[in-house]
Amino acid sequence: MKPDLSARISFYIIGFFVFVAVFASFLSSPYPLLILKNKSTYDIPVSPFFSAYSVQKRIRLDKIDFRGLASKSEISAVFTLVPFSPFEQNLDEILIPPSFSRFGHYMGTDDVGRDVASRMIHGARNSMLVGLIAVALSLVIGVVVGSIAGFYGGWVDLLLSRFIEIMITFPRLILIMAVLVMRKPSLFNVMIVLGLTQWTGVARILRAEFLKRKTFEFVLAAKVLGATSFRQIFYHILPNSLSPVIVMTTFDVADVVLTESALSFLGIGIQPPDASWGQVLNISKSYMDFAWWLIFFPGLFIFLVVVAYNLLGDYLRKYLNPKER
Amino acid sequence: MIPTFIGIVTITFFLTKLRPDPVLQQMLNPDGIKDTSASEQYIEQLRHYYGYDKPLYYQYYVMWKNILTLDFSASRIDHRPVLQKVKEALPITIGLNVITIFIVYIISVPLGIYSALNDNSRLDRWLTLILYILYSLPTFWAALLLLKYFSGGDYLDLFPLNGLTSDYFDELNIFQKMGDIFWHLFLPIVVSVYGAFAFLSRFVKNSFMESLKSEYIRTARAKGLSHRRIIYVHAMRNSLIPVITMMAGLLPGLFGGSVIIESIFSLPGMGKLAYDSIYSNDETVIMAVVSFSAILTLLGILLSDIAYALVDPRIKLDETETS
Repeated sequence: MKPDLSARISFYIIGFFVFVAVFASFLSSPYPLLILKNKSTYDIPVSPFFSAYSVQKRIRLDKIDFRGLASKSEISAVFTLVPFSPFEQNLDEILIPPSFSRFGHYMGTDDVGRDVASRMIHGARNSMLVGLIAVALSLVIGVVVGSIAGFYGGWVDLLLSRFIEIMITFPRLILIMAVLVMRKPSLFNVMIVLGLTQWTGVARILRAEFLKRKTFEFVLAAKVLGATSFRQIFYHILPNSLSPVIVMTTFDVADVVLTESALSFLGIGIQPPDASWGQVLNISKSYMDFAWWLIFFPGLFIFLVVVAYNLLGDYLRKYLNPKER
Repeated sequence: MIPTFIGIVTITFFLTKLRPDPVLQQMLNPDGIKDTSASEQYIEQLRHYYGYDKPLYYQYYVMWKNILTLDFSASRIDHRPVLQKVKEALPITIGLNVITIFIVYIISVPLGIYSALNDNSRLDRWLTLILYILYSLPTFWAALLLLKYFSGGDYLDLFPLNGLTSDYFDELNIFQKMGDIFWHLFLPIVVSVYGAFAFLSRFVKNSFMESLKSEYIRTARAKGLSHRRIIYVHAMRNSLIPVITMMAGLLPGLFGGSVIIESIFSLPGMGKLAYDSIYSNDETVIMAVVSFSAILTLLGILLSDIAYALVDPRIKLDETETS
């Protein structure tokens, strides 16, 4: 089915953010990508991914002021798109509005002088990571719980359904906050906790699908041919029930990105110096009256990512459901 | 319903027990160095008083005894009775949520019906797009933007910045008091409400369109009933049934959302209480907050089950399994 305009927009937006997330270090780094000396030889500093030591020269890269170096006549350098690190604080340059000048801060700086554009780029990486890993974890848990509850029925189903109901009724944000405050908030803990609380949607849907298909003849045929319960669940019923699960997972990614931003906004998500969009919004609260760039950019990006995943989920729902085409 | 409540309280109990003793935390300053003015004996006495030295199952039993007699004792941090704190905070959150649900339903149901009747018209497509955008706006961003542009001094100074009441609240008469609270609550309600519009109106639209395809509508048309009567009497009743049960699904989300909204607008409600108590590991307040929000959510589910049974004559009024 040819994707309509909204679906195509969502592909582009998601593709853009995935690209930014993967290549974050090459898009926003204080180290240049390429240095040309004497117009003939060139040194390429070690990729910013790796250590701060230059392999050839054994010098500490972070002690060199590359941006100042580039104005000297015999050296020219190619810098990244945003020639700043998300971590370097510069108390001379706090709360600067956005400017387009050379080596200017394209999206301004925050309250300790960190460049906002580079924090947006690295925040994109953190958001995509959280979305990917938290939802992967929740998918695994949801599939296991949903398939076992749906397939076996009886008291197993009763117990698991009760457990799912408990997790749904519990106000999720309060549960997540309680666990995070206990385990020291960090990127890793946020991913785990979000994964552990997001699985209920998938579990419910999968359980419904299993209850529908449990009595179908192909399952009976497999059983008669000697398939174990495990094989029946994972080789026969599950592959046929995957389409609503895929749709739900896409919406879950949107939800997870939003929740992670909300947690960082409340101060118990990704902690500084790691970058997160919600965190910049948290900082913006104190400087709301003039620092519009601290409010506009992170909110815009969160909004775009959430819209894109929601549109993608809608498109997948139409695409995977033959009745709605 | 009851097993769910037991499960929720048990989970919260273990969550609070997994963190270090709040008594000890009060004695230790953040560096972990023991305050020398509190002797070992004093700490032991305090622990005995609060019951922390008893084995875990005994603490569990004591907790249940307290909950069932509604004895939540006092906050560990500021030593005020917990029930008093909850009694101050609960009306604000309940008021906010009830008004939110009310406004959401009043606006979404007609919107959804209009959408269903004029499906794919230009207005309907624009409406769906706008609602979609609203649904995806992060609440905290919208709240910040609204605060920046509609309150304070720089652009428009229509609404107050924070809090529930103004400083001169006590000097107003009863009508002005109500007006003052409404003025303070306007922006929080706007923020709380816009997200649910898209969700609910889409749901109403789907439900309505489903019921418009069914046999009895065709019969009604064949009978020659007026268009109006078919839509507003026959189709509406049948499509509103799932819409009523949706209320049960909205409630847990509202409690989580109120944490953010109350923290931005400085409303002293349950969300803010939850946030503060979790931050300072104030066990008794955490237990009370979680118990109350669980009870309220379960009450909401119960109410929507009852409403469902009243509205749909096919359902009998027993304990229905919510799955």
